[in-house]
Amino acid sequence: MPSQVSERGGDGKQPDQRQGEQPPSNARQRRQQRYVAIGAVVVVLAAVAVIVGIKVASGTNTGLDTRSAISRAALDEVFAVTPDQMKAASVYIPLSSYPFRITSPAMTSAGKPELLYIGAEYCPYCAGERWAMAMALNQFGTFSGLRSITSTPNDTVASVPSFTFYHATYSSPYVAFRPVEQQTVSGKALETPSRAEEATLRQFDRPPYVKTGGIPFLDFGGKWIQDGINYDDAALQHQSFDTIASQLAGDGHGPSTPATESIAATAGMIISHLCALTGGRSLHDNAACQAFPTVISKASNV
Amino acid sequence: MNAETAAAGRTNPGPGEKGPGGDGRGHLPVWPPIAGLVLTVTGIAVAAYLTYAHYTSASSLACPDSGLINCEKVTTSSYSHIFGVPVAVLGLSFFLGMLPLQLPGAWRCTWAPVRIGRLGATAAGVGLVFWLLYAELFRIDAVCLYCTAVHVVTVLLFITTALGTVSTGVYAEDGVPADHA
Repeated sequence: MPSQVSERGGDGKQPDQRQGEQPPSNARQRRQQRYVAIGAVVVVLAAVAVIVGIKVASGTNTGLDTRSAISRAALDEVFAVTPDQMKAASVYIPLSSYPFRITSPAMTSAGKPELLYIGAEYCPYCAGERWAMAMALNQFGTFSGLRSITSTPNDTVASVPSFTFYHATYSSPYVAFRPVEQQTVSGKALETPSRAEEATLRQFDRPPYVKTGGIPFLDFGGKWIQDGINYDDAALQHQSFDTIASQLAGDGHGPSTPATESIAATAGMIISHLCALTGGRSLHDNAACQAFPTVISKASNV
Repeated sequence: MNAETAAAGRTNPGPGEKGPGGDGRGHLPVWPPIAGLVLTVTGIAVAAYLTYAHYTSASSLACPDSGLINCEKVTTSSYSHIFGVPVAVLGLSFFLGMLPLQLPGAWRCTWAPVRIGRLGATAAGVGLVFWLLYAELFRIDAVCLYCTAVHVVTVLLFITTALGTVSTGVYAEDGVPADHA
């Protein structure tokens, strides 16, 4: 057999080869490489087929639970509202409720104070609050994967478009954000609070800490809790996400309607509490915390 | 060429040979550079169109905008950027970078970084395709026809590059490229 060993060495020896055994060859190596290549191709094609197959099997999501992508233009408009514009709104827009100071161990995550939000996608008041929360948190970190959802059409305040925090991620050097969207718009179970979060909810989401209890429920680092929305969001009913985003930006002049001014004022109130937790630190050289150097609150909202 | 490869009708050099090329001892298979170049140029054309649409107006895309097929919804979504870079620009850069790697000269090259880099780049491209496909189907709930064309081209480019890399294998037994053996 014309072995490659003899070609290479020319000494006739076949080191590491036993009599009658095929020596390692380019052919064998090539065959192995071909199998690897074909295997990789099969894996890629199978993965594509699986992704598409899952989508086909699950059907197109066109019902109440549809979460839609948000255009960059709309997202830019929402986040274009400046801390100064929020401050201006908070000066003359009275909110209907404010967070309540509690005595509780500090709630932190990875060494950062945590904002806990418990709500649901069907909930119209959660929808109204999420606008302000997203704007406030954007001053401390960055969201990715935010999508829009419209609250249930079957409530007193119906069909309020907003962000959903479901499967969105948030990163910040200053605060941790823990959103829990408990149910979809159609009422399907979505996310479950941890045991500790449920304990917090049981302890504080009831009188005398709050009026009645319910969602949205916010816990600012174990220092303040809030139940319900801070403003009347009925004016947001049946509008589109993009319309509200546009009204928030107001062509660069800030919120242009009473409802969006209330959103901005609520965002300012949330910022003021977060700044108290972060020691006055926020993005962009602490611009948000400089606009809100003190906590906007009342002694009790009960 | 050694007797074994000659008997097998293969074109790759044996140890000590210079490698495939016009030296009369072996021929580069014709199909990898042809397939690679056709796919790469197609990718450049579609990605350039998407980039143009991105920087002018997404509505300029000739694409239906109802139901599952909705190019504008995809190309204006928050998933249309990765680390602040438009995905269309990433795609165009990928194909422009791939162009020299798919030339016949590059396929003839036995230098490992070129061969591994070409294969690795197409594999990375397929990884990005998986993410974008997931985003379209499960996060945006819309499909962009032009993006899908780019995805198909990227997957095909990976397939031709993987199979082409094997069929133009130029490594000697000890793993040293034949040129350097």
